[in-house]
Formats: sequence, C-alpha cells, structure tokens
Amino acid sequence: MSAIAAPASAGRVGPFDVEPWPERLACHVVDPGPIRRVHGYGVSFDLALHAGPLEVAWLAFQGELPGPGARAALSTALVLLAPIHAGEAPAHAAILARIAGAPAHLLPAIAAVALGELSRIEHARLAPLRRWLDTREGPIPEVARAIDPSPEEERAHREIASASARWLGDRALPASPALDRVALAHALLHLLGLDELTVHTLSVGARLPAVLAEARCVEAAAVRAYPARLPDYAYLEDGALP
Amino acid sequence: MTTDRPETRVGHILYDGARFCGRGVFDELMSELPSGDELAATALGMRLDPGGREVWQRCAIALLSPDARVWPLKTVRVIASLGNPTAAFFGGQLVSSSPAMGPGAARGTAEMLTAIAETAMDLDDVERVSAATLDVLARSPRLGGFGVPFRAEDERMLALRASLAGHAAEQGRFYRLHLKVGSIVAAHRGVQPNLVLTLAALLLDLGCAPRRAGLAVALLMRPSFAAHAVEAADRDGPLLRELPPERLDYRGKAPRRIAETR
Repeated sequence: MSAIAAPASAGRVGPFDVEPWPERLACHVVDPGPIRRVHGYGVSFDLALHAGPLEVAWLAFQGELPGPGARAALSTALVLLAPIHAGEAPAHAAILARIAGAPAHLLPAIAAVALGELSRIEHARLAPLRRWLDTREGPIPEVARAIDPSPEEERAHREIASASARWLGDRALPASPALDRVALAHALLHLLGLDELTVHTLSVGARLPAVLAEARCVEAAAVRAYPARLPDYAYLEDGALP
Repeated sequence: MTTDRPETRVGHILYDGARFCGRGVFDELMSELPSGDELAATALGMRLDPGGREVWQRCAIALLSPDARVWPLKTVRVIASLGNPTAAFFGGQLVSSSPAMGPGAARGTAEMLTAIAETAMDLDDVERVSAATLDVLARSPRLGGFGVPFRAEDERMLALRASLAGHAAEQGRFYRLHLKVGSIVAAHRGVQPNLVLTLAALLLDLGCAPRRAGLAVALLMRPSFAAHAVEAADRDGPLLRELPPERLDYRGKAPRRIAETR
C-alpha cells in the first residue's frame, strides 16, 4: 500500500485524504482479464462445456469443482428449498411488486430482499439442528422434525438419508425421524461444510425462479386481480401512533 | 386465517382524502405543514415537541458524513453507476442493516443502553451504572456505539454534544446515562464512544423504541444517500460501472483445465 496524496480542498483534509489505502481492488474468484475464468477455469471453452451452473456456483465459493457426492447433495438441497408458494412473503412481495409496476430487472432484487430475510429466519431456527449434526448427541431437535409427516414424506426422507450415505460417507443423515423439507435441505448444506454466506446465497438463488415465475403470472398494474383486503386492515385513530 | 381484522394506525385512503397517523392529510397536515422530519418521527411512533424536533434536526446534521469514499455511500455510487438512482438509494441503504456501523449499530446500541438502564435502575448511582455497564461488557465481545477509526475522538459526536449545550436534551435520562457509559467503557476497554452512542441515547429520550432506532438513523441519513445516488447516476458510469484492468489486482488461481483436475 502507499499513501495516496489526494488534492486537499482549501487545506482541509480528512482520513480518506491522508491514510494509506490500497491502490487496486483485489479480485479472488473471477479473473478480470480478457478471458474470463472462475478460479482458473476458462468460462467459455471449459466450464460452459463441461460444468453446470450448480458446479460453477460451488466452484465460486469453494475454489474447486464439486465431486459427485457434493454435487448430488447440493442439488438435492437446493431443489428441496426451491418451492416458495404465492402466499409466502417473498413470492407475495414479488407479486405485489409486479402489480405495482416494478420493472422486470428489479423484481429479482426485490424478491431477493425478502428471500434473504426468510433465509435468515430459517438459519436461526435451525441452529439446534446444526449443533446436533456436529455432535450427534441426544435426539434430533424438535424444531427440525416434520410435523405429522405423510408416508410419502417419510419415504422421501429415508431415500435422501440413504443417498446421503453415498454422498457424504459417515456424515450421512439418520433414516429417521423425518425432517421437514427446509430442515433437510439445511442439514445437507451444513454437512457439505458451507458457511452462512454461502447458504444464504444458494438458498436465495434456488428460490428466485419459483418466486419470480409466480410474479410473472400476474400482469403489471393488474390491481383489480389482487385481493386488496388480504388481510383486511382496520385503520384506527385512537391517539396511538404506529 | 383469523377473521379478526389486523389493526393499522398508519393510514387510510378515502374517496375524498386520506388519513395519516390520526390526522387528515389534505386538510390538517396541509394546513399545519409538519416537516419531513416530523412526519418521519411520527411514522416511527414518536411525537416530537419543539425541543424534540430540534434534537432530531441536530442528529440529522451530525450524520451528514457525505464523503463519497464512505463505504455505504460508495456502495450507493457503484450501484448508481448503472444509471438508476432509485435502485442505488435503496440498494445502498440495505448496507445499513449491518450491526457494525450506522443504522444497524444504532439498534444494538439502543438496546444496550436500555438493558443497562433496566439493570442499574437508579441512573444517578454511579456504582450501579458501572456494574450494569460492566455486566453488559462481559457478555458482549462487540459493542455498538464504540470505536473511532483513524482519529482519537469522533468529531461528529463532539459537535453534536456541543450543539446541545444548555438544551433540555442534556437532561434526558438516556443522554445522561450515555455519558457515564461512554466513560466507563473507554476506561475498561480503551475504546472511545462514537456518534452512534449519542444518537441512540437521544433517540431513546425522544421516545423511539430501541428496535426502531436503526430505521430512525437510516431515515436521518437519507440526504447523504440520496445526494450520492443522484450524482453518481449522472456521472459515475464511466468511473465505476467497470473498473479498468490497471486498478484490479487478481490474486486467484492460475489458469487450469477441468481435464487436468478430474
């Protein structure tokens, strides 16, 4: 680093003018050169031909391409997270944003804010599950268990748990009790060793298509098609403020 | 879903007008002309008297750190370089959710001061305040409202405090507490209080709920964010849309092929 002497304005200087700052922005993942590479792998002539988007996402975060087990576990986790229905806040917000006329290129950003908050809530809720996965002591936390799972859900859990033994070896999921869908996804992501930022990023990314596809089903400015009294807010004037 | 109607006290659209927080918009408010700041405070559940309005305004001025190089404001400029000041204004504001600085830190700091006050109870009892503060210190590796990089003291905090000399705000319960807490923490941890500690105290004395202190500070800071958003949207495209290669330092892996690594 070197001290960058910036022109002072009428002799007035502050830390940004005087303190030594780096002169260049560091790049670690994508080579900014004329041939774009992700952690060294050429995009156009290598990754685009021999890897899929999920592998490139893993590569970006982890620095290496995933092996077959990690790829399968990651794919399963993200598919489990994908379905967000219209009544869930991120999709509902995207629908409202579409109706309110948000431009198409900003709808993903609006949805991502809500999806990020949902991911935050889920991540916090499942902290006991992550602790259990690290220690395997005691019963699986109730907060992660499916509530009254159907036979199909129980069978699905057993199959995924069985597959996790092939993907993750001795870190496999137990065959029972059945976890709820989101908990199962987060369990796989945790067992893959992904940090919180990676989990939030992949979770948001996995859910954007369903959320925005739902928003696309309504027409921009179609206010009459939206249930405006859902819920039916009652405005009060009782002297109290919000 | 319950059939009970959820309550809102924010507002209502009528065929012939509108209501906002208990007031008629086009009759009462248009006649009284509350400032934008007063409306913002109302939105946060605060009623400001004339002294409170003055405190709010002084907080807004103290928060004007409008240097383009301040990181959240720089974020605004980078986004704005793509041409949309609105997207940049709101995208950059999301940075403010961080507990490390600015609005995000304000919430944690307000909650800390509230916890100390509830524990100490008698805020004029220096020993009780000290014990309560040290208890919070012991439980919190990182404190909001403390830390002054690059200089010995936070000039914004000093200026805000000086501007309140003789003002009734100096007698505020949390204002008096924050002075004590600042000294205690500085003595025990060697870290100086910053503007956020004073802001949190003033907001609490104005009746702001601790959980809303972050949004209050974000609203107070909007002029800086807006100014950078509009200027950068007009001018920063060539500068920031893509940095030139000579200003980048690639430190990643060397070129390789998939066939070599599998």
